[in-house]
Amino acid sequence: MNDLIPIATFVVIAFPLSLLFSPIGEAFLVAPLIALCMAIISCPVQLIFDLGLLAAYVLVAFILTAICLLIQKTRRMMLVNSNTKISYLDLMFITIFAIFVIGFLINLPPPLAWDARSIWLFHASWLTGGAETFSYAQDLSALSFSHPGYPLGGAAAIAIVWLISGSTENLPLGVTLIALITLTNSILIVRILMFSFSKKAQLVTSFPFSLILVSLIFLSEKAQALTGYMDVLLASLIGVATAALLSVICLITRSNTGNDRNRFLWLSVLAIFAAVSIKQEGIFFSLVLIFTFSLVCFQDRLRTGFLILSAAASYVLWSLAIWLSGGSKESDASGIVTNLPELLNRDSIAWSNFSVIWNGYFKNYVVFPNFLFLVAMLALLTHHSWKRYMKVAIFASIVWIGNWVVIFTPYMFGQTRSDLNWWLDTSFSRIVATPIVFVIIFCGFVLVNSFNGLLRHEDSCAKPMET
Amino acid sequence: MASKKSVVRICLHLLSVSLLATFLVLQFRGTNPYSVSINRWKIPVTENEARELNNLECVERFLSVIPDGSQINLISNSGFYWQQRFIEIAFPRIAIVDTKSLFSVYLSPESNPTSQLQCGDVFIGLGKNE
Repeated sequence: MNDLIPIATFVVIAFPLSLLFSPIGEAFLVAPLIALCMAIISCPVQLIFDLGLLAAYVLVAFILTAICLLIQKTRRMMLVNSNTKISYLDLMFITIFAIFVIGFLINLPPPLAWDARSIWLFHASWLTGGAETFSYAQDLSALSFSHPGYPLGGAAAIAIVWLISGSTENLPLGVTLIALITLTNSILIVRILMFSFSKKAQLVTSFPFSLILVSLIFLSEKAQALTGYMDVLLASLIGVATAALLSVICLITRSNTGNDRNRFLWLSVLAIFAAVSIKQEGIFFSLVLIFTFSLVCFQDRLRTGFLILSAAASYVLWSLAIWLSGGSKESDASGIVTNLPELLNRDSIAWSNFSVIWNGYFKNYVVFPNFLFLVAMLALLTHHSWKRYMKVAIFASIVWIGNWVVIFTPYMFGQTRSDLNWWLDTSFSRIVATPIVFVIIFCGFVLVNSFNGLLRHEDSCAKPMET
Repeated sequence: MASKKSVVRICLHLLSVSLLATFLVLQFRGTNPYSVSINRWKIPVTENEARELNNLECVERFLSVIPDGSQINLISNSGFYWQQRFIEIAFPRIAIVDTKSLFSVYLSPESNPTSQLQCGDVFIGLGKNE
């Protein structure tokens, strides 16, 4: 339980900024996401100015908060959001948060998972030693097993919390932090989906509905969020961006006044920024989302531009941090472009790998979620206002296909494919977290809108367009 | 009155929504968060986990005698698992280098003249070089 105090300190620093994006009741869900984004920015700041990581984090938080307080428009937004009332939904989500903290977070399994110990927590211990230690670690050949060039977002957040607590290499604390950010992201996803949930339905249905959805997202892939792996955290970040973009598309269709649309857009910008610096796949899943959003809302170049900027900024910060420390970025995706022509040859290694993945893994793990996706799509297209959901349906279909392309491509064409069975055994069940969470979100979205359709609720995505 | 086409569409919609809701609840039962939670409360650490934690603590105790900032040369003929765990516990307090340094640490799956301590299935020895 003591672990929660340094984590709370880490999050509280980001709370004033979270009021830029959300009313006060929801801000406690957005604050961990902003804290994670600030931790990502702190890494290169630490390396450039040779500060301690904690000092860099406080400096970044101070500068960003000061800028927002100096600009009249953002200051007004923070004030307006801090004056909002706590709603029934907020209280419900605080209760769900408490249930999961008591049920899971204060009694986590010991941190023995390989990726957690050997990559993320190990990298965090390098970051606590300052710029010199981190650069030294990039040079040591004995540490190459730990993939020193991997993204630094999660490790940076863990290192900051360790520095706040004064006990570096407190592995359970690091795992608790990752689990907590995944939990708040999971609740935020459901909160975004519930945005348009009919008020008539709230009292009776919203609590069990939200509890089920949060459980499915947070505990997906055998509750790996509790072990220190970054995969479910990445899935939850991509999930926040997906849910927010689905809402943006809905609100564009409804010609909403713009405030909510902008709020959801900024949430997706934040989530994409964090996702790119959490795990290597983050950049590819983010690109799928951005590409699809730009296709569906091709007239909305400004919003697409913000999303691209966010992904690019995060990628540049990660590259900069690794470059400043003298290391080089790593990715299992390397070699894909060279091997891509194999697609034309049915006897190639790529196609033989495809059949191994399809028969040995895809069928075992993910047939059910994909079937669920098709059922959800059928439900959406048979909705009484189905024409208004066309953009949502196109968006979801392309993202669904894109996610599977991201999963299959490195196994089929990547450099590490020579040891395919070992690679699949050790990674497939984790990497599929993102497409599975996507299916859960899409199903949740369809159920919320079907329910609204039954009640003819005016906030539904299907509300007629204003003229 | 609703046309045949719209009745079919409404039926299909209701069918797919109810399927969706049922499957989500089934999936929720499959996740079984409360049994995961209760098991966790009952047995916070399994027997295997406790053994592994003890072994790691044993290595940590062994390394605590080496002063901060030292460089050690790791000589190992045990598997990757122990090499990696050892490096994770040592670094960044102690640097692991390939070149000859003040200390050498020997990891071996069997007892030999360099061994001083057994942690689980690995034997560890520490030598000071002149």
